[in-house]
Amino acid sequence: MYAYIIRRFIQSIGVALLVSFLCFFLFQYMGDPVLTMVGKRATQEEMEKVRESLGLDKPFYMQYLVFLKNALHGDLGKSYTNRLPVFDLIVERAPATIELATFAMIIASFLGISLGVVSALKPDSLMTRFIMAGSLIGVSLPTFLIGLLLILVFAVMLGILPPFGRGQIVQIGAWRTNFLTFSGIKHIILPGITLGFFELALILRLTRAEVGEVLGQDYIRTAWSKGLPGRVVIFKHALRNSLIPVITMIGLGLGELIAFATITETIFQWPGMCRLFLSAIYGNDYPVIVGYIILMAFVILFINLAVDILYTFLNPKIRYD
Amino acid sequence: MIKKIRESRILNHFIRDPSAVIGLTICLVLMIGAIFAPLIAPQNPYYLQSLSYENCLRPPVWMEGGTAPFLFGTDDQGRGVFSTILYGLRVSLGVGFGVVLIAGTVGSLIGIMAGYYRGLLDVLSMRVADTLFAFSTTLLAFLILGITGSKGILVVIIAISLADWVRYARTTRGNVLSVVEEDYISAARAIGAVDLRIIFKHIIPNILSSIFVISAIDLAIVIMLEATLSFLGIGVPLTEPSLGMLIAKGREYLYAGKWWLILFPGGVLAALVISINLFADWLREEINPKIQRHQSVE
Repeated sequence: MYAYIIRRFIQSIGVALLVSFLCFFLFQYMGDPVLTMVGKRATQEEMEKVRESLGLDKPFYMQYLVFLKNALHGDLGKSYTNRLPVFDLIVERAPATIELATFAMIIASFLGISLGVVSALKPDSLMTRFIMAGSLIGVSLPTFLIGLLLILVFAVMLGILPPFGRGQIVQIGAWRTNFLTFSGIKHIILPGITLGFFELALILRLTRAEVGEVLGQDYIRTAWSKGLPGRVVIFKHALRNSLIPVITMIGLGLGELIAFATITETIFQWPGMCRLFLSAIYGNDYPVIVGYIILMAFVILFINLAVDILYTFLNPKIRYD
Repeated sequence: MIKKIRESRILNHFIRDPSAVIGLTICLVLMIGAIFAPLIAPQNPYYLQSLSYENCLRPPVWMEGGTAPFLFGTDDQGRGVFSTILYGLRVSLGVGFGVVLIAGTVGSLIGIMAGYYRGLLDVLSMRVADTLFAFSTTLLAFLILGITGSKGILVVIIAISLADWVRYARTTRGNVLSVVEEDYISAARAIGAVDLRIIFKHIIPNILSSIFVISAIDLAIVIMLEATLSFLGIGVPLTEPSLGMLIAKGREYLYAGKWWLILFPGGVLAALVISINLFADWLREEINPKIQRHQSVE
């Protein structure tokens, strides 16, 4: 078990290093940042000066090693566009993204699991048909379309919810939160639903399938025939065993969540770190792109590792030796 | 003979499932619309001489200010939305089928090799697949196209395929692993069949149906992904707009209340993906209920 964890840990670090190298390597061939920074009218000398000040005159492997050394100290370089440290830029915007994602995932998990259980218990009812039709739309509508439709209905036509920004936020230490003012809560509703909609549909469909399968098993029949009350059978016996794959899917779906957060933040002009990434792409701001990818790679790899380990505890049948 | 009975059984099941019939019908209608776009569309929206500024931003024909050939209204260049949707469908479907073909072939072959030969190839390819999978197809496509920039439809197809082959490789490998255990494979080996013959004669025919199921589910996912990428401006180029690009352009007029620029292309995109999913769900139930949607969606 421990050997497995250590092996996976080393593997994850190896992958993260590989990701960082690939990014760094690819960006060598993607246009000249100096030219973008100084503009077309700069003289050759001015350009050389900027190149030197950014360390871009050194050979490739030196640039990478310096980058790696600095990265380990939390220094991912400076943004080409506004000269602020990349790490600070990303960390400063992280709370907005984390709050949005948490809000979306809480809605998605709560509604997804409960509606999934309902539709598994009564597979032929009218209610279930509605739920399943809704979930089909959920997995079939791209996130950006859901966001635009919500804006069109609730902001443009009805005018009851704000379509962009975070609204009034409250600063607690380094963290800026949305949840302490009425305006902040109003602003998070539309982007939260947009981001959560797809996950909701996925969780619902998986919960329904898993609960449906478990309900047909012998130990559930035994529980019913013992005369246990319905809620005990459903929540203690059936749901508990069905939730393992659901939790795994939520944990392993983090990459998807980050991708969808990028779309949501763009549509709602949400000042989070995912939007920072997209504007960096538009502006050829390589340090921000590379820094973001590496940070995300770390987060995704280690959350995956954590989910795998958690999985062995939740499901004792699985051993990794 | 046996094959005929089998086919008619599937056909019978199909006819009795209204959602599958509706799904396939809508799919086919949209595909025919895309293929024959130059014949059906009242104007060629990308032939500049047919455009006129007098007609720009007109509402749909049944509203006040709408005029005859522009069924769904016009955009800011005077292009009919109905026509741009038909031409946009071509791009969306083209990218969708292109990726399914490339990623499906490459991914399935990698999966077959990994599952059949095992060993180092298996370990390496599945390690890569796991890692790519953790990043998710969508995020990977963002990263790849973020680096390359918007360089044309072919680049979009290749970028999505690079992120998408994993879906096929993982499922195919799993299928091969269970097929290889079957007695008829041992029998084929015993009579001296070579690997290539076993793979093409015995393994591929047995896993082909589940590759079809994944392809159907994947087609819907890829079309959504392409729309998303184009919406964000890192997908297809402006000169060949897909449905996603049309919606992105319509977004500029969202607050001006020009809803037809978003609602019609969005509605067609939704109808396309929903109908593919309806058909794919039926296909999955029919052929191999064990394939879970989430396995291929994550």
